[in-house]
Amino acid sequence: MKLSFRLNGMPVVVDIAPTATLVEVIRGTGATGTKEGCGAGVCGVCGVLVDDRPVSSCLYLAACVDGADVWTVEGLATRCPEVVAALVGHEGMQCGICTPGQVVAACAYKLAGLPKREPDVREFLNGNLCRCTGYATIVRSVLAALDD
Amino acid sequence: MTEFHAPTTVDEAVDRLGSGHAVLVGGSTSLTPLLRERLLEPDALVWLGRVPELWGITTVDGGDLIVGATATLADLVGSATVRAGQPMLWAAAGAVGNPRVRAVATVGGAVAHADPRQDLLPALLVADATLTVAGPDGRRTVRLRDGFYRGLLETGLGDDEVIVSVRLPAADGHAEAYERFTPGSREDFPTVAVAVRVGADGSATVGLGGVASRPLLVTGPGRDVAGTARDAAAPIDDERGSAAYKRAMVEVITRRVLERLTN
Repeated sequence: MKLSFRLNGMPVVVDIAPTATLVEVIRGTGATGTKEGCGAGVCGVCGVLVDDRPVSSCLYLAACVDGADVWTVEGLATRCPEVVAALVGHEGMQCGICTPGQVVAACAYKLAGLPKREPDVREFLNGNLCRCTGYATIVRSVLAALDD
Repeated sequence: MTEFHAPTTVDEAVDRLGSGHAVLVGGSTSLTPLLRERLLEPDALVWLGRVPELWGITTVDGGDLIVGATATLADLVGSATVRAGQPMLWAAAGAVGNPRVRAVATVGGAVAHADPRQDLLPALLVADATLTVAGPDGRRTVRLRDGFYRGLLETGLGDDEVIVSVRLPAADGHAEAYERFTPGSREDFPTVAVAVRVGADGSATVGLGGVASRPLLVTGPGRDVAGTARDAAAPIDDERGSAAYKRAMVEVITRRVLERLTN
């Protein structure tokens, strides 16, 4: 079936299987910043924004974004460069596997105007798993990015 | 190949359910894993996201809360009305998963999916929720407490029916709370989920999740109900704990919540 949506501000028209997940379709366009990790919506590396809402693209059916505005890490890194700069500057990344998802989550947090409070940031990021940092530097990075 | 439909009315959705094996889709957070594992191979997916009648959360005269079937858990959490008027439901909704799940997971989907580990179901039982359901012969109301939950992933909903809304009677200032106990990660299913409402006379209504093939409802005097809840639980050994552990935790968590509510 035909799917027509906006990806990082640009119109996209693709032919998809009705049961295709959003992550498959996004990566099929060449935007491979969004990853598939657990396939269960738990780890966060597949996170994207659909009409400003954070969504696990490994679970979301692509057909449901017809006419919608989808933003991935590539686009959000441009909309919120201070988030990327903060993750780099405050050691919020090590191996980088979780980083695309952390960028999306942090941008979602900032774009939603959520408060600059550590417990709130920590709670919001609970859906983004990291094996390297122990989370403290990620939280610190996001708090710093909320300054600007 | 499975077809995808996005009806714009309840009647259209009901019609779609009438041909072949058609499955309703809300946020797809519970459905997609079933599709991937080929546990479900439907002829059609019927997405309810474009049916305006299913959106929204409203309060009606008398204080009852009407939640549209495709209202999301995030809608519940973000609603000041729900937070003030149905704090137990509000807490249960906020306990689920992570922000990405809550952003798209629907209340109707949770009710219909009937996974006994879900946070919402014990709270809805305690709140004495009723459903408005649409089918080919019209609409009916179903009270969750009237045996709606029959077994694992099994409800009294017909294959040709669509949940339209969930109605919660006004909580009328009852002391109530929801607690999920999980030694696992924050976004895992609870090992034990306990929803409690206490009446002015000290009687307690307790909803339990994660400890049987369906969510359970137990009532009794406040001083006895934790033991009654423990005896009603029929948990299994799994990665979230042994049956004996879960049964013991039912009593501990229920007692803990009751103490919090009555102090």
